[in-house]
Amino acid sequence: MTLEEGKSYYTKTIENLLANNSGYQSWGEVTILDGSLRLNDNEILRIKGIAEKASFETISIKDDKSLHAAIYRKKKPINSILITHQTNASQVKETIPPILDDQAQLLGPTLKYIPLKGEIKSFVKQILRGLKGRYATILSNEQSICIGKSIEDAYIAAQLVEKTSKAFLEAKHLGGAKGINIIEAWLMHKFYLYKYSKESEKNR
Amino acid sequence: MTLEEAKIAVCNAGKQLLKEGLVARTWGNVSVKLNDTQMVITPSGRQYTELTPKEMVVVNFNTYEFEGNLKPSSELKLHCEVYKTRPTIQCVIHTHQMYASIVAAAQKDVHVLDPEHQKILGSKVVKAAPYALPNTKKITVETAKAMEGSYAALMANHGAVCCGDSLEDVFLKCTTLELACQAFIESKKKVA
Repeated sequence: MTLEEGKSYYTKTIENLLANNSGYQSWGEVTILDGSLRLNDNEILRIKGIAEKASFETISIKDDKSLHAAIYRKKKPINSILITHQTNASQVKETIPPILDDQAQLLGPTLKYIPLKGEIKSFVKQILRGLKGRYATILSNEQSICIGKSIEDAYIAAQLVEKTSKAFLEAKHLGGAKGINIIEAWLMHKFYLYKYSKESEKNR
Repeated sequence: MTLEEAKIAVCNAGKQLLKEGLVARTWGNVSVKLNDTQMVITPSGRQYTELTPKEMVVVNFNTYEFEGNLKPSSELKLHCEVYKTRPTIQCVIHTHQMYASIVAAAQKDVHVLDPEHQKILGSKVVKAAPYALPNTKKITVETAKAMEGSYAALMANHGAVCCGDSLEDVFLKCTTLELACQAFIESKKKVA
């Protein structure tokens, strides 16, 4: 993907997602703060802001010290990252166990809360730990990191972070959410990533 | 309803599910009973926005055999079970709607507080089926059992299922269930 193709893809996709996914709003509000996408094996397109207000910058995956570059270095199948602020997720102050099947399938066995501590330099390491085997993590600075194989995938991960957070918080009024078995949640995640996705491809 | 009409109706219902925020991505599914042995259901793993009526799948709900190359929704056995055990039911919708998911995550039955909601849902309590892995025999049997005597049930840690006479009727039940779950949660907040 060239720089211009990347810009156009990002802008159109985000605009389309925001325009056509109003139904998701019942899951809570998600604000995209910034994002990035992989252009090729060496470069990523870093985007600050959204839609027509977005500013773009090409950065090297290998050399850049940013969180974005570090995630792409660590997670080869990932092609998009969104950093978001979300109404309910920003109120979560603990790791959420697997409480919903769709959470486990898409996001991973738990939704980790990372209480960012120490020097800013160490934040990247802490966030990467939160994303290990997962597609999203919640940070103590009221932001969430959501990743995916495409912008659409990262966006749905963000929606699911909000749904899961809302379910976790609201279920406290009903005696608390009951977690499902963590091994089963992990297996469901793997099944969803590999078998279900392949079957979905076949069904196209 | 003819086969063509049923395929169009199911396809449109899938898109409406997405629009109303009752599902996301490829989750959830819709079916309509065609005759005494067949139903039309949404296909497996397809985005609702991309669906066309010809891609809807005809399934024999007694044998699970399906027509064509596209695989039916992975939750088809739940739909089959409802049609087999409740001959008057014409449509089934499975959703991942927000407030039903909250109660389902808490593995609680919903006490339906509003008499109007009770009338629409067909019961004073919407039961939550115990947790079972998706697409298993257990989730099928337990969910159908939880729905006995009602038009709706929760699936623990998963979502909800509603059934009824027509797609319009089942959509009304899905949205009513959402309101009933929201009211149930709010009532617990007041108690606290």
